[in-house]
Amino acid sequence: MTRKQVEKVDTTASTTIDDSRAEEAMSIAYDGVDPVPAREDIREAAMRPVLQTGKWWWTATITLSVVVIAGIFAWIMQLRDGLGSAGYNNQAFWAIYEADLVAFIGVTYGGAVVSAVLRLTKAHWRAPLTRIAEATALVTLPIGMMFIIPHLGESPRIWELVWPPYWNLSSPILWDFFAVSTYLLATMVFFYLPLIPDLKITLQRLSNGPDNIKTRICKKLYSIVGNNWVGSIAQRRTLHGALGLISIMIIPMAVSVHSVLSFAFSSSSRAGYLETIFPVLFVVGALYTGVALVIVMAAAFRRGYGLERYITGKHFVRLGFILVALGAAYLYLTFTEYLVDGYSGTIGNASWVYQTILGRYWIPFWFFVVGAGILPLAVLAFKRLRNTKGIVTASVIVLLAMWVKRLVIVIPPATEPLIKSPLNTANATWGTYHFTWIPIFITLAATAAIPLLMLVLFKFVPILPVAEMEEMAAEDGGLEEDLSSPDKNYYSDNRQIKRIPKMTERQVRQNVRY
Amino acid sequence: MFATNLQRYRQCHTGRSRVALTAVAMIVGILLAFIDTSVAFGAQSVSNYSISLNAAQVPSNPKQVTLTAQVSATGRTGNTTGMTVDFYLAASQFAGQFGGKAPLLLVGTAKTDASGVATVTYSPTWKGAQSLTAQINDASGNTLATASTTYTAGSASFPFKGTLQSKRPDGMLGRWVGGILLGILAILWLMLIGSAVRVNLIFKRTSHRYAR
Amino acid sequence: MASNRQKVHLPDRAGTGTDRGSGNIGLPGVATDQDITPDKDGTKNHSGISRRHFLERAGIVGIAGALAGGGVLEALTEHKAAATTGTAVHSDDDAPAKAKHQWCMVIDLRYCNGCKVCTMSCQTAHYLHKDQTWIDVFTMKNASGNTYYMPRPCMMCEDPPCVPVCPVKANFRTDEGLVLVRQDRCIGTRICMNACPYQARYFNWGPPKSAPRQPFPQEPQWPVPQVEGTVGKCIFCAAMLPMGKIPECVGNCPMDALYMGDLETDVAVNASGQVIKLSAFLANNDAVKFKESYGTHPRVFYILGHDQDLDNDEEAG
Repeated sequence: MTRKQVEKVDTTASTTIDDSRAEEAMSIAYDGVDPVPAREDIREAAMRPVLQTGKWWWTATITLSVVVIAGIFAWIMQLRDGLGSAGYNNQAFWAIYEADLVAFIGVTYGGAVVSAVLRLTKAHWRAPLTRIAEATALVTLPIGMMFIIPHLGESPRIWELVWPPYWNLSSPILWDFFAVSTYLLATMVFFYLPLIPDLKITLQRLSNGPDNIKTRICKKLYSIVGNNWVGSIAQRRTLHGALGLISIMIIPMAVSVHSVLSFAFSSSSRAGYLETIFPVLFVVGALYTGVALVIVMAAAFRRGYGLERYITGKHFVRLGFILVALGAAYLYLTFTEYLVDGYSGTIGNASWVYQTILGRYWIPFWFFVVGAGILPLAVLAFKRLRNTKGIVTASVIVLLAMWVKRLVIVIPPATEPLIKSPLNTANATWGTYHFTWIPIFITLAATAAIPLLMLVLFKFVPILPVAEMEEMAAEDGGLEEDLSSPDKNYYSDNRQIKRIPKMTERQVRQNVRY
Repeated sequence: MFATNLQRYRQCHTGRSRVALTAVAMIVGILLAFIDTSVAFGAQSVSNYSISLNAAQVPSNPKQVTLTAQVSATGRTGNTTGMTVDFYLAASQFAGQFGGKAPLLLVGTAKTDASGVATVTYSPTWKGAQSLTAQINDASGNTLATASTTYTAGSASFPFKGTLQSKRPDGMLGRWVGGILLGILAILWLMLIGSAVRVNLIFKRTSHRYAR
Repeated sequence: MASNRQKVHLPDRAGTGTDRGSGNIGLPGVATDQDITPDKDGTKNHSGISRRHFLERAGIVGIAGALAGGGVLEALTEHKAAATTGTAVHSDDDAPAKAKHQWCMVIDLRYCNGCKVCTMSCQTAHYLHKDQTWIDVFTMKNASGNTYYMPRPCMMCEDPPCVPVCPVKANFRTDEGLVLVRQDRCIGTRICMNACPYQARYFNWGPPKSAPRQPFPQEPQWPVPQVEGTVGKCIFCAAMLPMGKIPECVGNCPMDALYMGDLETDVAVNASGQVIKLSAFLANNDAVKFKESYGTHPRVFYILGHDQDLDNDEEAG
C-alpha cells in the first residue's frame, strides 16, 4: 500500500486525533477492520435454511427426488431401447430433447440478468435476490447441459467432445459445448466470489449451532477460504473489482451460449431453421424465461423460509416489468421472423409458416402467443393484477408457454419434407413426432431437479447475500429504508460502494470484531 | 460362312465317315480357293475380312492418340473402302460387374479410305494401359472382324476439373476465426480462474495483518 | 433409343457443370486481442498484485494461447483420415495427389418407372431396415398432375453441408469424392440430418438389422451392419468400387435408368453394361443436378424428360 493511497483515505477520516495516530487508525480501518456494521437480522434470516430443517423441507425433497429418480429410470429405459423409444423418427429427428436443451439452458440467464446486469446498473434493490438468482443459474446450467446426454444417440461416446483430435471447429455443436462450459465456469466463479464473506458468517453461525458431521465438514471446507475474510475496505474493494469484471464478462458469455445454440439449428438450409434472427431470438427468449424462473424461485423460497421482509412485493413488480419488456421483445422478434418468412414465399418457407400458424402446429403456437406474449403484458398492465401473486402466476405460465414455443421452433422445420414437387406439394408427407413417456419423464425430472438442487444448496450456503446486503444497509438511507419507503425513486439510486461510511477512531475500535 | 457349313456338316456324321468327309471337304476347299469365288458365291459371302489396329501418340499433341485400323479381306482384295469401323475402349474400372469382362465404350467411328484404313483421334482420360478394340460390322450388324491392342497412355486429359474450394465456413476464413475464438476462449478461462485465485490470494494476504 | 445411346461421338470437351474453378479465397487473418481487452473501471487496487498487471499477464498468455490454438488448429484441420481411403476433406487440385476416380451417378428419369428395385436390392445387400433408405424413390407430380418417379441416393456433394457441422469429424469426404460416415465415431447429434438438403440421411433409432459375416470389416466404406445410435446414409457401395463392381442399385435397375460413372475417366455404365462417354452424355441430354442453388455441387446427375421440375429454384433461406 502506497503512501498516496493512505492519504486519500485519510481525508475521509476524523480530524479529532493527531496525524500519526490517525494514519495508524486509518490503516487499521483500511486493512484490518470491517467498517460495515453487522446486521443480525439479515444474518439470522440468511442462515435460517442452513440451520433449520422443517418437515416441509423433507416432504419437498423426497417428492422431488422421486420425480428425479423416475426420470433417471426413464433414461435407463431409453438407453436400453434406443432413441426411437423417445418418439423420434427420421422425419422428426429433432424434437423434445433439443427443445429442452434450449429451454433449460435458457432459464440460466436469470442469474446473469439479476446479478450481472443489475450489478452493473447499480440497482441496489437487487441485493436480496442475487444469491437466489445466481443459485438458479448455477443449478439449471448443469441440468440443461445434461440434456445433451439423452439427446445423443450414442451417449457413451460423449467424451469425444473433449478429445481435441476429434474436434471439428466448424461445428456449431462443438462451439456450443465450449460456450456452455465457459459459461458454467463463469457462473461458478460468479457464485463463489460473493460467497466468500458469507462463508465466514456461516462459519461463525455453525460454531454456535449443533455439532454433527455436516457442520464439521462444512467448517473444514469453509475455513479454507472463509477465514481469510476480515471485511476490510481493501478486501471489499478487491471483491467488488473482481465481481465487476466478471459481471462484464458474463453478459457476452451468456449471449454467446444461446447464439451458438441457435447456430446448431440455423446451420442448415431448412426453412424455419435457417433464420438470421435466431441468435437474437434465442438470447431474448433465454433472458425472458430466466427472469421468469428467478421470479418463481424467489417467490417459492421467500414463502418457504419467510423472507418477506427482504424480498418484498416491490421486487416482484420490478422483475415483472423486466419480464414484460423481454416478453414484448420476444413477441416482436417472433412476429418479425414469421412475417419475413411469409413474405419470401418460397415453397419451404411458405409451407412451414402456414403449418405452424394455421396448420398442424396451430395449437402450441397460439398457446405460446397467449401464454407468453399477451398474458404477462395483461398482468402488468392492470394494477389489480400487478401484485406478487399475479406476477408469479404469469411467470409460471410464461415458463410453460416458452417451453412449448421451443417445441414449435424445433419440431415443424424438422418434420417438413424436403423432397417434394415444387408445383404440387400435396404429395409430400410431413413427419410426426410422437410423444412417449420417456422424454416426458426426463423433462419432468429435470424440472424437479431445479428446486431440489436449490433446496439442497441452501442447506450449505446462506440464501441471502449477507455481506452485500449489509453494505447496502450501511450506506446512506440503508437497506430497510429502501425497502420500506414506498415513494423512493430507486432508479436514480447511483450510490457506490466507494463511499464507505465515515468513522472516527472510536468507531473503528468498536468495530474491531475479529 | 464356309467354315460354319463345314462344322455343321461335320456334326451330322460320326465315326469313320467323318474322316473321309473331312478329307473331301478339304479338297473341295482347296479347289475353291483357286477358283474365283466371287463368280460362284458372290463377294460378301466369301471374303474373309481381317482388321489390324494400331495406336500411336499424336506427335503434335501428346494427350491424343491416333487409332489406325487397317481392314483387309483375305481371299480376294475385295471392297474394303467405305467400311465403318467402330473403335472401343474397355472400361476396365467396371470390369468386375460383368463377369470380369470390361464393358466397351465407343470412342469413335470412322469409314475406311481407299486403302482400307480408318483413323480416329482419341484422347485418353486416364494414364496407363488402355485396352482398345476396333470392329467392323456388316450391314445387318454381324461382326466381321475385331482387333485389339493395348496402348499405354503417358498423359491424359481430364474433362473433370477436380474438387472445388469449399464455400462453407471451414473452407474460407473459418480456420482463422476458429483459432482466434479458441484463443479468446483460453483468455476467458484464464481470466475467470485467475480472478478467483487472485481474490483468494489477496484475501489471504490481508486477513491476518490486524486481526486479533 | 438404347442403341443410340451407345453411339455417342467424341465431343469437344463440353462443360458439364463440374468444371468449377478452385478460387481460393482463404485469407490469412490477423489475431487481435482488442475485443478482449479488459475494462478499466477505475477501481484502485491496494494489494501486491495489481489487477492491471494480472490482466496484462493474462493477456500475454491468452495471445500466446491464441497463436498456439491456431497452430493446433492447423494440425487438427489436416485430416489424417487413418484407415480410410480419404486423405483430405477439401483437397487441393494438384495433379500428383489426384485420385484415380471421382465417382458419380447419372439417373435417367426418362426410364425410371418407380419399381423400387434399387431400394430393395440395396436394403437386402446392406441389411437395412425398411425405413433406412440409402436410395429412395419419391413419387412426384409435375405441373400437369402426372406422376413421375425420382430416385434419390446420397448426392455425394462436392461441398457437402453435412461435413462441416459434425462436432467430432464423423463425416468426411474421400479423395474419390465419396462422403462417408464413421459410424464408430458418430455420437448421434443428428445435426448432419438437419444440414442435408436431400433428406439422404437417416438415424439408427433402434437396434440395426443383424447381418451375417461380411467380406469387409465394419468401416465407413462398408457400414454393414449398421450401428445403433448413429447416422447412416448411402455410400455408393464404396467397398465394391475398387473391385470394379457397380453399386447394387445401379446393377439391379431393370430399366437401365441408373448409371454409375467416373468423372475422372469420363465413363459411366448401367446394369446392362452399356457404357457412355459421361461428359458427352450429360451435355447432350441436358443433365441437371438436384437443388443446385444450395451450393452443394452434387455428383448425381438427373436427366429430365417428362416435364419434371426438380426442386431447383428454391431459395435456400
